[in-house]
This record gives sequence, C-alpha cells and structure tokens, in this order.
Amino acid sequence: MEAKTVTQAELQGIVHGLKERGARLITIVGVDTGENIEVIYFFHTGISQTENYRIIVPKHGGNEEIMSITPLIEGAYIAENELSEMFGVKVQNIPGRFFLHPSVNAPLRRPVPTKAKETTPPKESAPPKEAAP
Amino acid sequence: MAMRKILENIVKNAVSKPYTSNYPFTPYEHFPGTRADVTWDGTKCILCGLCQRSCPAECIIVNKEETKIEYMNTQCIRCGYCVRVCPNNAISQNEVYTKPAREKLTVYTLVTNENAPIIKKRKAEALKKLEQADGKPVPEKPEPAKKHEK
Amino acid sequence: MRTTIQFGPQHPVWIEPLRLKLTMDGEIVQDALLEAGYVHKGLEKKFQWDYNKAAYLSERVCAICTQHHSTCFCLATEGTMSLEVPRRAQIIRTIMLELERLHSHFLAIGLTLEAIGFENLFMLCFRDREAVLDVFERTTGNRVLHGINIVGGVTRNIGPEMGKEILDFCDDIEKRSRDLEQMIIKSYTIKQRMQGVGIMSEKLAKDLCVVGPVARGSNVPYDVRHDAPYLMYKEVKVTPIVETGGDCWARSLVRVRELFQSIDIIRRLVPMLEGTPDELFAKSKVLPEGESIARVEPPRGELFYYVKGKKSKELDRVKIRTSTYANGPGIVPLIKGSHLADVGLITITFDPCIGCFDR
Repeated sequence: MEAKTVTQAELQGIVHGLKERGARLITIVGVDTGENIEVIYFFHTGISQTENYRIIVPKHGGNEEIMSITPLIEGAYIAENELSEMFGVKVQNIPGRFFLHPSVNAPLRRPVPTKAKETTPPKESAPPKEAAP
Repeated sequence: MAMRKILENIVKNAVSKPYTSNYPFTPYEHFPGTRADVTWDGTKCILCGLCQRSCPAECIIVNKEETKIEYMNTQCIRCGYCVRVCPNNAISQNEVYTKPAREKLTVYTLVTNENAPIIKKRKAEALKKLEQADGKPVPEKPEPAKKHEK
Repeated sequence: MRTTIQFGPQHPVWIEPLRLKLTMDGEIVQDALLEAGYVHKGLEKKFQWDYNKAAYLSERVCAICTQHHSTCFCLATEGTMSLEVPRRAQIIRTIMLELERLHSHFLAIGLTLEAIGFENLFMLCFRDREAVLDVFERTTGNRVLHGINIVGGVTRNIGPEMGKEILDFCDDIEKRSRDLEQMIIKSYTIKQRMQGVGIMSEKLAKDLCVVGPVARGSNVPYDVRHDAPYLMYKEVKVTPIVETGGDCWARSLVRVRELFQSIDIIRRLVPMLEGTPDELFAKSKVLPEGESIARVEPPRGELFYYVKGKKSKELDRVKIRTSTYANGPGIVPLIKGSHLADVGLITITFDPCIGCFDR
C-alpha cells in the first residue's frame, strides 16, 4: 500500500479534482508515530484502484489544527469528528465530540519519546539499548 | 395470488405439531464436533505453559511448584486454541455444554506424568539425597498421587 | 407550536441503543439530531495486542457479520507479512462468507416486516434462518462466533460428505426462499405501506458516500465483490443487483433478490473443492511490519480494515470502518419531512448495527 505525502494546501486542490472525476471517499485514518501525527485519506477511483494521501502534523503539546474537507465531501463528517476526539487534533468548523464522554481526553495519543542519554561504553560489554516508546 | 399462499401457510400451521422442541424436558441434540469446555489429561501434560501463554481469555494458570493446573471454566470462551497448541495432545474438548449455575466454576487438575521435566528433576534430587545419607541406592519408587477434581 | 420527542436510546423497534432527538410540528418531523456512543467499548485500544489473539477479538465486534470481520482482519495482517494462503482455505472462507449473507438477510427482512406489524412472516423468516445456523454448527462447531479463521488459513476442513450435505441444504433453502418471495413481492398491503416512504435520491447517495443495499436501492452500483475482488471472487463473477426508486420498498427488494444470488454462488463453489491439495493453513516466517489495508463486502455494506505492524508480536494501530459508520449520517435528511409513524420503519430498512458503529 503506497501513500503520497502532500501538504494541506495541495490536498484541497486534489480533493476537488477527485470529486469531479467521480471518485468516492472511503475513510480518514489517524496514526500516532511518536514524533508526529499522520492523517491518511483513502479514495476509491476505479476497479481495484485506490489513491491514498498522507499529511503530517508535528506535535507541539496539544491543540494542533488542520483544514477540513467536509464542505467538499459531506460524508467525511463523522470521520473527522472521531479523528479530533481520539487524537486531540482540532479540525476547523467541526464540533469535536461524537462518541466519548466529556471527561475523557484523547485516549489514543502517546507521549513523545525522550531520547536516552548517550553513555560512554564500558570496556567489555555493549552500550545499553534505547527505551521503546 | 399472495393471499392464497398465505392462507395455505396458515392452514398448514394450524394442523401440524409445534416446530420448537420442549427444551428443558427433551435434551438438546447436538451435532458431532460441537465445541464446549476443555479437560486436561494429567498423565500426558509436561507443564510447559504454552496453553497459558496462548489463551485469549487468560483463564488458565499453570502452577509448576505444586504441579497443578487451574482452569476457570466460567471465563473460558470455548475457542479451542489451547487444544491446537499443546505439544503432547493432553487437552481434549467436550461436546456437551455445561448447565446454568449460580456460582462460578473452577477445575483443578493434578499432573502425575513421570516424564515432565520438573517431576523428573525433583525425583532425581530426592534420590541423590537419599544415596548420600544412607550410602546405598533406594530399592523402590514412591507411590504416585491420585488425580482429583474439585 | 413545537414539541420535542425523544426517540430515545431504548426503543422496542431497534435492538441496540441510538438516540434521535426529534422536533415536531403536529405530525410532521421538522428537525432531527443523531447521537451515538452508548455502547462504545474502546476496542481500537485493545487491538494493540498479540496478533494471533486479536483474530478472536475481531470476530466479537459484531455478532451478525462475524465471519466478515475476522476474514478482513486476517487478510490485512497477511498483507503486512506477505503471506500466501493455500487454495483450499480460500474456497472454504468464501463458502462461509456466502452462508453468512443468507442468515443476515433473513434477519433483516424479518425485522422490517415486524416494524410494519406483520408478525406471522417475521416468525417464518426466523424459522428459515434456523436451517442456516444448523449448517454452521455442523461445519464449524458453533452457531454464531465461529472461530475458524486464523492468520494464515482456516482450522476446520469440509470433506466430501459435508459438501454433499451443503448441496442438499441449498435445494431446501431455495424452496423456502421462493415461498417467501411469492408472499412478499406479490402482496398488496406490504407494497402500499412501503412504497414512496423515505426516498433517497441518487445525488444524495453519491454525496454522502453510502454503501450496501442502501446505495444499490438508489441506482448506485457499488459492490466490493465487483469493484475490488478478493479471495475467490476473481474467478466467480458477481454483478451488483440494482433498483431505481430509492424508497424502502426498493431496499427490501434488493435484499430478497440477493438471497438467490448467494445460493447460486455456493452451488458453484462446492464442486471446486475436489482435487485441491489438503493444506489448510500456512505458517509465516516473519513478523508483521508496515501498513496494509483490506476491504470485504458484508451483507450490510463495505467493511475496511487498516493494520500497521511494528516488527513485533503486538500490532501498532488497527482502524475499523464499518458500514453503519458510513450510512449513519444518511438517516437525518430522510427523516426530515416525514410522519412520526415512519421514523422507525425508515431506520430499520437501513439495517443499522450499532455495535459496529460504536465499537
């Protein structure tokens, strides 16, 4: 499965072109990779053909903001709601709650991994392994 | 046309006997190969712990010091993964479901297999200690414990 | 003057909790608000688990389309490991998928008729469904929640005697389905009740990206078995069944016609089992790494799984998108402007499965 990495401004133009060609949106997926949050958009364009686009949102402490594609494709409403409440990423003009109780905040978000300090290797044994995120 | 079919259906239902069986009084007839709960054979198990590591519901506890297997029957999901994974075929699956009850059910099985590595090691150590104390080999084997279920 | 009526979380018409807040003006609905999340269990967090045990978790997301969930998860995980499944396992998986379509459509037709008030035919549909569940118990060991799919293949075999029993069962169930079709399609009262109620136009269906019989009842021919074939559907061709009209009658008609299509496919698949070598599953030599997607067609719509591995036994991220997740926003524009007595009927013809919606 390949996904092309694009910026947010390019994505709006691409979605406009896809809508005129008659493609349909499958869903929107959010992935937390430790350093950034990636948002992947899946489209169905032909027999056994899919086009996937990825945007990268760097983390800085919560409340990042991305543009929404709901004005172009109405079927993305619930997917963007779920993305914003599970990862803490704000989407413009979308109320952020659909499934969870108001006391729960961003359960799928992981803490940013801190790099282990480089120790001078002792004379006989190998240096210690880095802690997993 | 549809009315005739419906009327035919109603008349047929009115004169035949009921389609459902009288459940608590006539027992349920199961097909061969139905999956119900699981029993261990104490003479084949070698206490390796593979069933404990592969159970998705985490309802098996293998106790190596006391050579006992604890199986929480009420928590088991009857998937059959432990039956496939056991290297000695010591686990077998029943075909008749357990009856409804008011308390949770836990089953303990004692393992008496002579070839299990832990039992072999303990017997070899006991034999060596007796040899050192007496100065001559022990003539007979101790009696094996019986298997009991609570 | 306006009143507010809660078509609340508990209602005798639905099986699962879903909340609709309706604003009424007399007998006509003016506005509706949809709220869900009453059975949210947080399964996407639990899926970060051992991938062999996660196959048993994925079939418990929904109890009516269970075989499709576990097959889709296994296809996606096999994609991350680049594992090739033997041919006999592919044929057995496809036979189980088509049998599941039969029992789910009997249930959906029965519930639609009960929402109208026709209880005799509802009992008849459930009686025919018991014949399908007996076949499941003979082949897999359990009526629902079968548990024969593992990553790499299947665990139980279908021998020559079982194959002959399945063909006898096909003849029996075709006779029962023909009787059911006679009673539904040619009836006068059912047609008058359901025609012209809850019309979804073709433009609205394409804008909201709906899936399943809801889309095929509004002249949008989208069927994953035809548009992105998987397993044995590359050799056994399937044409989507389409109805124009877009109302409740068209959606129920699509489901009744799909029963006969499934029986036909099972009859073509069972003779393919002879002559294939007896291998049931393949062991893999690598751990899951990278990302992969898979799509299948359960009886309610399109199902989509995204799996990402991190080169260990535990998975990194699993995302599930079910059919009710895509169809849910489509309920609100259809309800506006209809009578209060039609709200339950319109929702039931969408075939909602709220356990799949909330996960």
